[in-house]
Amino acid sequence: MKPLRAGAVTSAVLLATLAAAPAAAQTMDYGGFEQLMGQPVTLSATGLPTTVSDVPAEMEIITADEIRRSGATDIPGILAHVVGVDVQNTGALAANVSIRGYNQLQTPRLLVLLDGRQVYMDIYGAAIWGVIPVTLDDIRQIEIVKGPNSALFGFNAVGGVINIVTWNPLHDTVHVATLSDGNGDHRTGSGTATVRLGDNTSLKLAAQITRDDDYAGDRTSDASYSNPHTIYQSFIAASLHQILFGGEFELEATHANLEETEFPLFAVPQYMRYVVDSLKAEFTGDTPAGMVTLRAYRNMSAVDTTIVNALELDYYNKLTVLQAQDVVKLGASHSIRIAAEYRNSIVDTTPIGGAHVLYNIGSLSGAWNWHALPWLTLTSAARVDRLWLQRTGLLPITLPGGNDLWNRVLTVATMNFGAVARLGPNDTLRLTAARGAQLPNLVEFGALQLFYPPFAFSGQPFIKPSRVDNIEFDWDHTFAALGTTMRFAAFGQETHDLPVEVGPPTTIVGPIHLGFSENIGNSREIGIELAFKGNLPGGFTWSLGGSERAVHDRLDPGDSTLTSGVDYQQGTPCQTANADLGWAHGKWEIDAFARYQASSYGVTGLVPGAYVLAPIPAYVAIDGRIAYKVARGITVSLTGQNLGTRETVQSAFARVDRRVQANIAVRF
Amino acid sequence: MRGATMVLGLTAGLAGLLPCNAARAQATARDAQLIVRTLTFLTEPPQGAAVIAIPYMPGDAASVAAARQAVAAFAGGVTVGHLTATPQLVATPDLAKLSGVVALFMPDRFGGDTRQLAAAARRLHVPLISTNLGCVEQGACTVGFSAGATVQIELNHAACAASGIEFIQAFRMLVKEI
Repeated sequence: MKPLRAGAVTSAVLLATLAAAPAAAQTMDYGGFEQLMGQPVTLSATGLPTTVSDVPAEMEIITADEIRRSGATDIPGILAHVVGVDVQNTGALAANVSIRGYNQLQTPRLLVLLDGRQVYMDIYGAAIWGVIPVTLDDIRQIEIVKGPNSALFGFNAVGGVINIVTWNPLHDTVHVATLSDGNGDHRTGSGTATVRLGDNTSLKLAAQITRDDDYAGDRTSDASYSNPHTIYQSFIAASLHQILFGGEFELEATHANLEETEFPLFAVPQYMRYVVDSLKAEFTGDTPAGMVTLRAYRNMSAVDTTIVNALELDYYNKLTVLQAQDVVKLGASHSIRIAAEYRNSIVDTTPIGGAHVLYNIGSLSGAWNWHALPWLTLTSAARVDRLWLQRTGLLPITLPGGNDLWNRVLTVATMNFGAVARLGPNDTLRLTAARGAQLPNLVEFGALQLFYPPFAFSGQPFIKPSRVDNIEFDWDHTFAALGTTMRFAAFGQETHDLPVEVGPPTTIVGPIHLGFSENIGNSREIGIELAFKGNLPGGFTWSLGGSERAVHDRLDPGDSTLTSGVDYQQGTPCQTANADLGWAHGKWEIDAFARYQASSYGVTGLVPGAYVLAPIPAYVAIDGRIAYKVARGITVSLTGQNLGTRETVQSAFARVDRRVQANIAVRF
Repeated sequence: MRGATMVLGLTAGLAGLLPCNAARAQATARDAQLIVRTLTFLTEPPQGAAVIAIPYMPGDAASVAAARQAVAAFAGGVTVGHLTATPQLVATPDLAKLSGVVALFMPDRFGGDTRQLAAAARRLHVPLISTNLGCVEQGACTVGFSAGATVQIELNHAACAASGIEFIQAFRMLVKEI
């Protein structure tokens, strides 16, 4: 679909809904529900407002207060404090984040949403955290959903979901300006402001600019990585919210720039430039027909770097998404969600240009929530995605066949089932079963066309979606007398058809050795997680938890770590642990966080067929924050990351430096 | 047969863990916040200054004390969003002529006939709110909550319909509806 037509359809759908929306409808007030229930409330899992303990999936919610006290300078730094979330820092602003292991460079197993809008890049299927246009002060809560949840959230939600929810200027008032200065030549300024433009209209503006030096310690032989590059990050986001026809209408525009070292190809670090723009229109309304959400957005992502032989790798991707959802309560015990989605994603081929790879996807999904017994709720969800793949333009001589090979249709079905039993005020049990799907990313579908004589590397149309089956048992318990909560999870999952973006050059056509994206086999994981969280007299807060997991890869004959660059078995640390202790009294807040990761391996290399495993020793990373309110609305703080040692090996690449920042935040 | 026995045994075991609906003794400031916040989720929420009636049984010392405690919980007035609610004591004989209130709040030790309060709520087209979940389950009260370690809120669909009031769908989805 051409952009103009997509826009016209969007406008028509929105106008039709607005015309039908009644004046009495109201908007979702997260703060109101949170105040009512005494705990964060989420809309994201089933479309129903649900407290975190009642969600039919293992979900953690990090609140704005916890974010403020985290001492982190970015979102991965916050996520690293959560049991079961794996964070591998590869740069001062670059990190690979996965849930329950399977971490890798630019991990594609995570669905990352910002107020319902996809913010991972379709090019790699991965989140580049530095271009997500949100200040930490603008975040109301971060929802972390563990395990495959494609039927509830959409594809890519195979390892889990990170859903970032920001303040709504119709309900929340936020005025914050923050300045930060630290070692590594770190400087950041950010601001978030809401403005009321009458009773029914509000505006929100958020912006940030950051300068940083990347980590100095080198673990690779790549010369360009030996000297730390300067990181530049800037973004601005503006959104207009209006009560219109009884519902809430939102228009949002964002622009983000980032220059940092990432890993676009062959696990080799390269200095990258990203420019990402987005436009979004959304309507939500509580109507007689149900809670209706209509959302349309476009992400425009440009990625630019220079790789081997001075070749320019320039991706430009346009993603257009239209979503419609209706959630209806039927009687006292049943709720139904029906949703439809259309998406169009197109990318230029690179470094050999002159062609486009694109796909259209139509999706239908439904979820049924049934309060079967006063203490038992059952949720069943299913989703079907149908993908039409195409390629247009010139075909390089290095590729056999023609564009017709890309005329493929893929159909993927996913499901989620969850039974939540509230056994009294202190105990909740969850039993969940799920099948998730990870569609191939655009690089795997052929956006990459690299000719490096005598080798040629490319994506291809026959790569299959990856499928993840998961079964899980969770138990939440409150020790009321101790003010402590416990969360336990035991899970087992199997991933089928693991994908790799670029396989080894084993196909020989004349003098050319071709390497394609491919599926290389299966992997199985079992694991448990246990976490405690509580309060103590005197203003103390604490948490302690850990995970134990075992991954077993079963690669196809002929595939190996050497050829594919994949080794989840040795790449997933068998044990992780998190502990934090906080204290607040009067004008003071002091928080410390420790994160342990058992030894593992990271993949590095130069070309497929020559990947190697680099050992990552067990380590403990310590973060902290000391803050003092010097006056009403003014807080000064010292924050630090990796405080325990001068340098820590956390990946196959750079050593993570100790970083310390002095900050001032003004809230008015 | 053995399977049925196991299911029954499991059910009995789970039933032993289910929450009991015993009422609590005194209304708290947190209760007052919950009452006023609940009113903001009506499809036609009251705004500005509003009055919440707190009934009591004259001559019943426990009932009077519970009502006074509930009034104290409001500390002169509770503001949530655009709504500021103040409490007003109402003796049960005066319920028939009561008007101008946005809700009735029944203290736990009300001690009187809840049907009388339900009738007043229906006549006034306002919710009857309680911290006794049993009252909601019996159909007399419209909304009930228990504000312990975790908040439980119950909503009686028939009682809402009888009073001609409606809560927004998001609220109905969040709470337990009977």
